[in-house]
Amino acid sequence: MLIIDESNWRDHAGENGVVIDGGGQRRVMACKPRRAPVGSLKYAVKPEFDLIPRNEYSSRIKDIKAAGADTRTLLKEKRIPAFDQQQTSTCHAQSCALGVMASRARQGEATVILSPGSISGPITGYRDEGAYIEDDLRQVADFGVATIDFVPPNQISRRGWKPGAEENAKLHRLTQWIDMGSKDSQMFDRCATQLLLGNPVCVAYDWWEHAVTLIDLVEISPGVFGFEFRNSWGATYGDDGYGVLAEGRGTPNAAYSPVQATASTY
Amino acid sequence: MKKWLPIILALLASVIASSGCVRPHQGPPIPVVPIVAPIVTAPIRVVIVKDNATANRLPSAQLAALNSSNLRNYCQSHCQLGPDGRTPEFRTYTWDADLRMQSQGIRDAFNDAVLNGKSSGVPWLVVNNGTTGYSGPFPATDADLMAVLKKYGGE
Repeated sequence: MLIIDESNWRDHAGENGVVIDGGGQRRVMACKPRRAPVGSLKYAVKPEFDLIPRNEYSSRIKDIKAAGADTRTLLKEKRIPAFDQQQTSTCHAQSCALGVMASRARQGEATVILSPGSISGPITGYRDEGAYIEDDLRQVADFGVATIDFVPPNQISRRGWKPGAEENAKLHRLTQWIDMGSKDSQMFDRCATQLLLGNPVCVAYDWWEHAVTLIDLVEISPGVFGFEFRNSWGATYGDDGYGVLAEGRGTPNAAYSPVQATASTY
Repeated sequence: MKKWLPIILALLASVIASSGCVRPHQGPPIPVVPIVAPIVTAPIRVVIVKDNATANRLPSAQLAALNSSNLRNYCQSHCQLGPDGRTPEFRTYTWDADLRMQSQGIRDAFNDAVLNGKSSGVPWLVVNNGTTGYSGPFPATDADLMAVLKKYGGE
């Protein structure tokens, strides 16, 4: 299992916005730091929930694993593949699209593969550039995200959108999500609580200039916890597209947890 | 030939009885077991309504059961299929979900859960097979949950 922590994070951080991943692929790092104040985002709920105590993490992780209640198992059962953003700057949209797909899977809706390109295009003016992750989520809340049948996954320009894409996107909106705020002493615990509840968390890391989707809380070694995340660098990254970010370096600068997507089967 | 038939049958019976092949029943009377038709269970519909804001207070075992693969797998094979002909009618929503695009059956079960369960503040489970079912607090463990499901959806 790929674990990123204080000892090796520089190996994963890029230079001048570019990193070469483990498979030798050149990846563009393009997630902008958070700017929106908590409480200003549409449909977003403030992070006003009780935290699950740390002394329960270990036993809860065991219970979740034993029951197959972890989100990684859910994504595998639902056959949701790893995204690959290839050479684009769309990590922010990839993170959100996977977050919406995980929420839909948790609700029991049919598996549809959503297109990150249908999120990033409108918020960047159909240019290949970085963005604020909160803008992606606002786009998904307002207009939704179309399936790859209507918009290719890494589509940049408007030209590749098929007729009916906007109508299709309305079937896949976020109707409730939690704005988890900025990095502070409780950010790790807020993310951990949502993951233990079964909700994915879309996160941005300033040191990485990158956005990924947190999937599950894991215990790296006794009493040491981290977040299992799914990257958007294809299935060859880490373990079938997954890695672990240890507490500390893995505590995100911005985090948003999709809770409820549109109740639509298609 | 006809007049010899009763005599032949009587002789045959006496030979069989004397050989010990058939013994008269002795001891307590054999209870009469009624023949019962097997219970036919129809495909079920399952809807769970939860409150994300309070889910962190649920006991660990109950929360794990809520998201368990046992629940998903059972529903995958025992729930009726939705309008698309392939998605099982099994959903988990928060109280304030908008179900305008869902089937009438899912909406009815959801409304039942909201009506009965909202005041209790616990996750609510609705299981129905078209004729009977369960509407009550979400069971505390995976084993309890499976017992409820199997009662209405069969093994």
